[in-house]
Amino acid sequence: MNLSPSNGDDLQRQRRRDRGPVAALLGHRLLAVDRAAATVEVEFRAEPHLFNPMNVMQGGFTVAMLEQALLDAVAALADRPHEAATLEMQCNFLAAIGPGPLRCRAGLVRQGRSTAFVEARLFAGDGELAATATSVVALTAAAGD
Amino acid sequence: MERMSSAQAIARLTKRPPVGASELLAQEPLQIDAARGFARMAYQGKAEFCNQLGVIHGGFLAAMMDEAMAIAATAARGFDYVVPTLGMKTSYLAPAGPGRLIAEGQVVRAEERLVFLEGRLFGGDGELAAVASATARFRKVPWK
Repeated sequence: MNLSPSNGDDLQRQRRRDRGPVAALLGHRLLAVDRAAATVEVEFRAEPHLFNPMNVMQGGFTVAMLEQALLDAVAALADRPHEAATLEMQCNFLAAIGPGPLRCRAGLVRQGRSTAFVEARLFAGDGELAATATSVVALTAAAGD
Repeated sequence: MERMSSAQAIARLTKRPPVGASELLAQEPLQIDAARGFARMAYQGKAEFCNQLGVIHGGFLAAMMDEAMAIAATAARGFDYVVPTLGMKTSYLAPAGPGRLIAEGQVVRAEERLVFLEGRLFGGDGELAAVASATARFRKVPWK
């Protein structure tokens, strides 16, 4: 077992994982994989195309960012390759999010054979906790596994 | 407040041009029943909303339901309020591919300052793809 806080090869491999075009729309970038803590850290960008008429991020896109980070955590930290699909997700919106970079820390709470439980916290640029989420993710063996 | 027809409510909603999220999602109002606190909206599931499996990212389905729920809530209050969401739970029942998607928002219970909402998202084939429940807060619109 590798207990180093952030393994460079691991991070590069996880960064290269195909996430589809939606990742660019959210300004997604994987910053770190910490296997010892069972967490990943992900950067997003809050930009006007994701905002509501109040000029802050529409809650649904906050959900989108948190969900992406939760799936990143499953992909990076599960004990073997899986196809992962979110079954349900609860998101709480603690503070309005204005433009700029955001940091999200997502952690694998428990992983079974066919289910993973994940949680995430999204921080605004000034470090303020802006949103939290938990999700239940269905795991199926990756194709060719 | 006099009873508002769906056409009147849609005219009221679209008085302000779509910005940001509703523009990105290509929101098109289909039906608004202000008295019942109900909204049915069409959205465009664009290719850029897809994940690596070629289906719409779950968060974007949540965004569509969030919009429809907010419109149902604001319509129920004569469009005098914005409704920032406090919490939202989403269940993903089936994948939704790119194309036209339908989201419905329904007020379950409205109090003076809080509103409880439900959302549904239908894929192109009419299949129920996701459901949501949310709690939101009424806040007077600042632009009146």
